[in-house]
Amino acid sequence: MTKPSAWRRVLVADALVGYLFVLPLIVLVLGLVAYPLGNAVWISLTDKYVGYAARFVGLANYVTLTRDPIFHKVIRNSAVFTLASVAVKVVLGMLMALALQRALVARSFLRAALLVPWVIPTVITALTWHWMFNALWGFINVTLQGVGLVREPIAWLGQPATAMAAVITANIWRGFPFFGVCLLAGMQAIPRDLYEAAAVDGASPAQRFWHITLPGLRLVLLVTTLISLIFTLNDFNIVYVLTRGGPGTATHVLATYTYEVGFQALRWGKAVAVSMYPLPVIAVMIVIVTRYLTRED
Amino acid sequence: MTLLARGLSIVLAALLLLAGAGSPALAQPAQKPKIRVWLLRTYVPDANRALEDSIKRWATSKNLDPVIEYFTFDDIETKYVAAIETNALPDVGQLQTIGPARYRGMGRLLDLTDLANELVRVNGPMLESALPVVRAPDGRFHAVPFNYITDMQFIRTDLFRKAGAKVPTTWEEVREAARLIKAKGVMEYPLGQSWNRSADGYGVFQALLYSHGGGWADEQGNYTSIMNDTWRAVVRWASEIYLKDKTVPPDAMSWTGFGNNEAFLTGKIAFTFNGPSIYYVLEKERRPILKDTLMAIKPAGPAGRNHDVLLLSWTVFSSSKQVDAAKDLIRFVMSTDEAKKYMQQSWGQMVPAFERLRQDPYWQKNESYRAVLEAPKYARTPGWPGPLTAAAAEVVATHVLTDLCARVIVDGWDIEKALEEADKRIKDIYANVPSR
Repeated sequence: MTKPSAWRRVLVADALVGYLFVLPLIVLVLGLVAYPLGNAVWISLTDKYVGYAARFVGLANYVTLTRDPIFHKVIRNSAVFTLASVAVKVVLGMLMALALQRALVARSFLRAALLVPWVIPTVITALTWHWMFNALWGFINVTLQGVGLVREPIAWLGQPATAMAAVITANIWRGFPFFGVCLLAGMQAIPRDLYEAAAVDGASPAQRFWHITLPGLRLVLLVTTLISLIFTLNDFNIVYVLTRGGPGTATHVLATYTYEVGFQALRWGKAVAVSMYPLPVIAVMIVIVTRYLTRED
Repeated sequence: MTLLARGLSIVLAALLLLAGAGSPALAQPAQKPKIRVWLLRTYVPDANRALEDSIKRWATSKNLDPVIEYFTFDDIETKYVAAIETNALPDVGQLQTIGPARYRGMGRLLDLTDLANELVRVNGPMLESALPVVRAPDGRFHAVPFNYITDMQFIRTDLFRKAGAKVPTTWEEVREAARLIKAKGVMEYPLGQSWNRSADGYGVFQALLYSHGGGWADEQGNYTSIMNDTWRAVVRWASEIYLKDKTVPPDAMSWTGFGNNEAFLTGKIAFTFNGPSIYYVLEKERRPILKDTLMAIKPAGPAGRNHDVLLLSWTVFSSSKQVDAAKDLIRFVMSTDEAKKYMQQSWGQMVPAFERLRQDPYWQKNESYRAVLEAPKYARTPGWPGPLTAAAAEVVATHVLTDLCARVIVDGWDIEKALEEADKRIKDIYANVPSR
C-alpha cells in the first residue's frame, strides 16, 4: 500500500477544510466590520475636515471633547435618554408579553396591533408625537385644557425636562413591542409543566413569575436589553425630528451631535471621535453578554 | 471533457449569444451624454417645475440627457458634504448663502468670473448684497446669483388693528406691539420667534445683531470679541421676549423649521419672521387670512436696517467633465426670458439679484410683493461687516448664535456667562478652520 502524498494529506486535513468554510465569513467580517471600524478609528485620530486631506493629530479630538461643555451635556443626555427609555421598555415589554400570553380572545389581533408602533417608520412616529406634544394645538394640551386639568398650555417640547421626557416617551412607544415580542417568544419556550407543578405546590402567580418566568427569560431579556441599549444609544430620528436636540442643547444626544459636528461644522475627525466615545461601553456590554451566553451553553 | 460536459458547454454558449443579440443594450442607439444638475426643491412646486422644464428644453437643444436631482433646505449641506467626500459632485449645482465661501476654499468650484460678467451685461448689475456671497475677496466669482429667498416680517393686520398696535419698523417696536397685543387680550402669545436650530432662529438673530451694529468679525474678516454692550443688548432683547414679556408661545424654542409657519397659518400667532413661503400658501390656497396678512420688511435697529440673507446661486464644480455645457446651462436659465418665466411661476418667492429682472412689473402687484423685492437691499452675509468666510459660515452652521440665546432662556444662565461661552466657541472656530 502506497503512502498518500504530503499535498493530499494537507488537502484533506480537517483544519484546512474548516478554514475554507469560514473564509467567506472572515472576508465579510474584515470588509464590513473591521475595515470601516479601523477607518473610523483612523479618522478620529486626524483633523479631517470635509474637502481637505486628513492629518494625524493623535488623541487631540478626544482631548478637545473632554473640554467641550456641549459634549458633556450630550453625554449626560444620551445616558438619561438611553437608560430611561430601555428601563421603561423592559417593563412595558414584559407586561405586553404577559398579557398576550394570557389573552384568551383575539390573541393574533392583539399581537399584530401591539406591533404597530414598531413597524411604523420612525419618522412618522416622531412627526405624530411632535404634533401631539405641540403646546398650542397638540392633542395632549388640547385634551388637558379641554377637561380642565390645566389652564395654561404646557410647553412639552419647550422646557428641558419635559422635552427630554417627550423624546423618551416617543422612543418607548416605538421600541417596547420589540421587547414584548422577544419576551413572548421566550415565555412560550418555558415548559408548561413547570407552571403546573408550581401551581400544585400552591405557588401564587407572583411567585410563579418570579421563580419560573423570570429565570426562564434571563437570556432573552439580556440579549434584548443589550440590543435595545445599542439601538437607543444610536437613535437619531426621534430626537432630530422632535426637537433637533433642543430647546438649546437640552435633548442633544450623541447621534445628533455627531451629525452636527460632521455635516454642519464639516469637522469629520471630531465627529467620528464623538461617535467613538461610547464604543468602549458598548464593547464591554457585548463581552459580558457573550461570555454569559457561552457559559450558559 | 465528457460528452455531457461538451454538450452543456455548447448549449450554454448558444444561450449566451442569443441573450446578447437580443439585449436592449445592443439594440439601442448610442446614449446621449449626461449632465448632472442638483437643485433645491423649493416649497413652490410651480417654480420647481418651471426650472426643470427650462433645463430639459435646453438639454434637448444640446442633445444632452439632463439628470436632475433635488435637495431640500434640510439636507443641502449633507448632500454636498457626502458628494465631496465620495467625489460624486454634479456638473452644475445650486448653493445656499454659505456654500460658495465653504467650497471654493476646498478647490471644488470653478472660476465663473467671465460668466458673471456676461450675465451682468445681459441682466444688468447685481445687487451689492449679492456680491459677498458669490464673489471671493480676491474679486473672482465662483458662483453666480440665482435668486434671493428673503426673510420677511409677517403681520396679521386685523389683530394689530384690534390691539391698536402699529406695524413695527424697529426691533423695539416689535416688542411693544407684542406686549400690547397680549395686554389687550387679543392674543396670549402673539410673537412667533424661535431661537432654534434652523434659519428661522440664526437668520433672525443675525438681523437683530447686525441692525444693532454687532458682529463677530472685523472688516477684514478676522475674529473680534463679542464681549461688548451691543451683544449684551441683543441677547437681552432675544431673551426678554421669553422671560420678561412672555409674548412668545411657550414651546417656540423647540420649533423646527416649520413651527412658526404652522403657528401663523393656523392663526395661533399675530406675527413672525419667515421666508415668503407663508404668503405663498395663503395666496395659493386662498386662505381667508390672506386679506389680513401683510408681508413687510424686517425692522431696523440703532445701526440701521441690516438683515440676514438667503441667496441661492449657481456653480460649476471643478470635477465636471462638461464645463462648457454646464456654463451654457446657467447662461440659458439666467437669460432674461427664462429667468422671467421662472420668476413669474414663483408666486413672489424668488427675488432676482440682477437689476433688469428686478424692474419687471411683476413685483408691483401689491405692497407685500414690493416689500419682498426691496428686502434684499438690506441683506448682510454671515460675518458682516467682514467678508463671508468659511469660519463665519461655520459660526452660523453650528448654531453658536441660537445656542447663546438658549443658554439664557432655557438653561437660565446670565447673559455674561452665555456670551463668554459663545465667544470662546467663535474664537475656536476662527482659530481652527482650515486654510490649507
